[in-house]
Amino acid sequence: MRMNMRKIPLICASAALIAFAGLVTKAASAPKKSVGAQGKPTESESMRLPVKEIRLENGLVILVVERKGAPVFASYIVTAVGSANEKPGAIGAAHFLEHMLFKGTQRIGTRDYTAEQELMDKQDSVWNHIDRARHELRYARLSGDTTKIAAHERKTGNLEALLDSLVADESLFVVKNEYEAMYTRRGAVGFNASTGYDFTDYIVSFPSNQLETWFVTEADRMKRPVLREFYAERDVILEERRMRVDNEGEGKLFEQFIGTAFVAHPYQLFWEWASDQGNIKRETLEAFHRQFYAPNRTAVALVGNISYTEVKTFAEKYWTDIPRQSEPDPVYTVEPEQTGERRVSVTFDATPALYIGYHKGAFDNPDEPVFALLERILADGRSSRLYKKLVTEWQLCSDISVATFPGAEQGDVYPNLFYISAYPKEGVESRLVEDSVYSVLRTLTATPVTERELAKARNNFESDFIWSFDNSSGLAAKLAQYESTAHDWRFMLTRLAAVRAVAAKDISRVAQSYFTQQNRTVATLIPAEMTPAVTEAKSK
Amino acid sequence: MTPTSMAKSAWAAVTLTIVANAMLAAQPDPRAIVAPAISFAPPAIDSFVTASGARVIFVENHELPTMQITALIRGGGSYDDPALTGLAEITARAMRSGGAGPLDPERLDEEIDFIGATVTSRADADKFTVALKCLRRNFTAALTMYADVLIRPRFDSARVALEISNKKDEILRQNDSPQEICRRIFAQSLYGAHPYGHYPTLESMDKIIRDNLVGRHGRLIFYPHQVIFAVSGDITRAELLAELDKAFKGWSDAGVVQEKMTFAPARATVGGAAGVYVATKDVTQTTLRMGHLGYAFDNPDRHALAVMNFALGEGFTSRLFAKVRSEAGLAYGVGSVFTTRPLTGAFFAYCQTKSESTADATHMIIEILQDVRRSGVTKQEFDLAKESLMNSFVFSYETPQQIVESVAQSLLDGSPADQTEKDLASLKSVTLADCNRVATQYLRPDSLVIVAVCDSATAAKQMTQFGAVTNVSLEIK
Repeated sequence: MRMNMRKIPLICASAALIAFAGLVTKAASAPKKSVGAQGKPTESESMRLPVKEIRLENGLVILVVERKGAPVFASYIVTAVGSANEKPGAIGAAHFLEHMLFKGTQRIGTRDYTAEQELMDKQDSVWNHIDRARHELRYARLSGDTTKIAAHERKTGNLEALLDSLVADESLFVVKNEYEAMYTRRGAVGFNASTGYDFTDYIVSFPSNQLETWFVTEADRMKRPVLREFYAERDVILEERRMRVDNEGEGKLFEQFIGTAFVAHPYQLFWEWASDQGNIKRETLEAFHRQFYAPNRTAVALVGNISYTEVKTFAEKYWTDIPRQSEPDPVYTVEPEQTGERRVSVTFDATPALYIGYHKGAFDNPDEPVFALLERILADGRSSRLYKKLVTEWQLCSDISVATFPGAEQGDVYPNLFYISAYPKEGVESRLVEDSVYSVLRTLTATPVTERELAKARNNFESDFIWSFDNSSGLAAKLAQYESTAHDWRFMLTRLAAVRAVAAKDISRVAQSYFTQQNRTVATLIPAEMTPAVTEAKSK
Repeated sequence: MTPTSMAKSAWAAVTLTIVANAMLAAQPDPRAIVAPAISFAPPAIDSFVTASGARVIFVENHELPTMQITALIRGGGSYDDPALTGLAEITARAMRSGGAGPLDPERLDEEIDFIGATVTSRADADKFTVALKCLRRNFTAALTMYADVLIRPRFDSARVALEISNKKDEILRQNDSPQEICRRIFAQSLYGAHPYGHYPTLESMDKIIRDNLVGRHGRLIFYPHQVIFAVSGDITRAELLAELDKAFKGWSDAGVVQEKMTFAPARATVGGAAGVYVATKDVTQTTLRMGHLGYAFDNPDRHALAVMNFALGEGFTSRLFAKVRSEAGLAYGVGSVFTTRPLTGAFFAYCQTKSESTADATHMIIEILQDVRRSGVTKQEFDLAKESLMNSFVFSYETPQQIVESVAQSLLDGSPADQTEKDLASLKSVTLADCNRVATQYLRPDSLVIVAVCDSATAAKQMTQFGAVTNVSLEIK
């Protein structure tokens, strides 16, 4: 994965059009008995939505969609970095860094940056001593020498107290949440970020008159971030993990599911490991930032009531001096072919859940458009195959869905997973649900999809595609993520054309070659049936 | 580190700082950017009545080849007979899934899916919402099915049974998530016997029969004068009116003997009892929610309360966020909320914290509530909150559908159609004194309903510091 392989003009601006005229499918000529197929393509459907591009010399790409309506705009910054870039010992670095990039810069969030930097250096130095002291304590304990143990324990305790006091001293210099306050005061909404596998997204929407503020502030964040309040935030992240993974059955199950499905590729990691997170160093995050946060790894989309000319002016004025960086290594690890079914279970205080996953290719694999339709044929809507059989007819589960992991929103730069989630009803064995899913999957090869079924799946794909333009933030996300994944946002149009070309025989071929026992991973959540007596016994 | 290398790195640090400062000086300070003034006239909103007599709020918008229509109807779960709690929800779901007009359930599912449309029907405590999203070219076909779902549902018995069975399954899953448990216990403890505190049970589900749904739909709710349509999309007013009149032909109020909504709730004046409610589960993190009754949607103090609460607990800049998360690192999610409901809403503060710090986090939140009640928010907090709310107000008009739905909701509440503009004017007039008056008047940190979902070994015993603990059973009935 090299972001700078394409020839990039110094500063170029071009426009391309997304034409909806090309989206009309066979829906219009579907069988007569369909009451829903009366619509004919209309004039209004050839509406055009221009996407304009700005490509800076330093590699940064800005996509602009000018739209009418309320004087607001949505911004989406996608940096090509995520958990797939993490290394053992620092699992969680991408997510932690994402949190830390809200802490301000050398100018925002501080009363005296120079003094603050000195304090942070002291904290880090003490942390390094604590780290070493804990290691030594382990061996002191092994020696059984009580005097030695007591001395080491004292030393560790003193260092920890010292760090606490140095952390408390930060309040002398920190202007708390100043970055957030500045944005919020100026009318920002949806200020947030998210860490995926191949990219990390920074999101905010503003009234249109704050365009320049946004450019200047984000330039400051890209150039001079300061990872302040590091030690408190380390704990905050652990609380986020407890909330999303440790104390939610589905989170716990999913962690084991992907950890079992992938044995080599970093897509196996779900959130951070608490042990890595609790020990990660500020310098590790700073190095991670230097390595991966570069303009040549950044795609930005701006959608809303703004002017392209103004965007171009601000981009040239504020973003061109961010230096291009050399490319870090791509993820070389390739997940080896699976050679037999893998199964894992998690016992937890929750009702049963089931995941069934199959390995498949990366976003540019020619079978990807087929999977896009398979998702819809299997579980989009009440008339889809899995829903109709398992939920409505056989009543084995209350809900069933199909998705890709990590998926287009978190990254599918590398080969990934097609998976089914099902929730067995009370009294229904997970195994029965599982076997029933397989029997429905087999129908894809036994009784190939009809033209009408295929047209329905395409109609849904295209309808979803058009609706994704309804919401400015959603559209900005899609443009920036496609730009980051494929190095060209137009790939979303290529995908649409490819989906339209999928034939019924492609569906059965893909089903037959991918949905095999050898290629699958199954994860089940087994209820712990926690009674108070059991809890009591456990806590002792 | 040796003395030599230390000296070296100190030197490097100094140099870097100088370079950085020089670079810094060349860049403008984002805080100093003066934003140009912004002016905006909301789009013209059309309002008319169909031949049937239903009100339509409409904005024409040709940017995308799409259509959206949402019907709002007064009368949700709060009107359920307490013995049949969940009836409104099942009615709403079965309207969509039980077939409609000429189509049996399977055909209806198939035809809606085929054109890539979505028809959703749901009920919350206060209203029914039936919505359609489709491409413009399929609007006629989609609207026909939508109208059938709204006024000619078939309530197929097998699908009704399926909806009840799926709801029971959902009830059996209600203790999976600590946050769900906490939300439920808080509402039950806060509202006591009032319908806002009612949750469907296996028992109430077992009592519901198809006739209840038919009665609920036919005799009480779905008549033209009860329905407000919020519509936006790629269509002219004349085309829309013609389509609606065709799809809803024959629908009228005539001949309807509307039954009195026997269980319509009065404004909640009674609540549950303040106290500490604990439910235990095998978890490593405590989910906390603490609060009391709030205000009704039309309370004249609501704008001052919005500013006060923004400063107290909304978003990344609030006092709760700054203290509990940024400073103490005790939580990821922390904040406070005033819910707005047609009857009495709620106020609550919330957070999740590791079992060991349960009492610390609870104390910290209560102290912040006490402090704001006693001393108010600062001038800086007030300015930030008010400016934020004023400057982001334009987002109330972000999409045409959002605009029409907001007007429809105002009308449903009995407020004027231009309520949003009135809200902006009221917000503008809020002063620091107003803000601090309502803090004292409405915050009651000394009589809180405190709910903790936590483990029994470490966290539960910490909760005794906040009063006599009522243990809440998670047994599912």
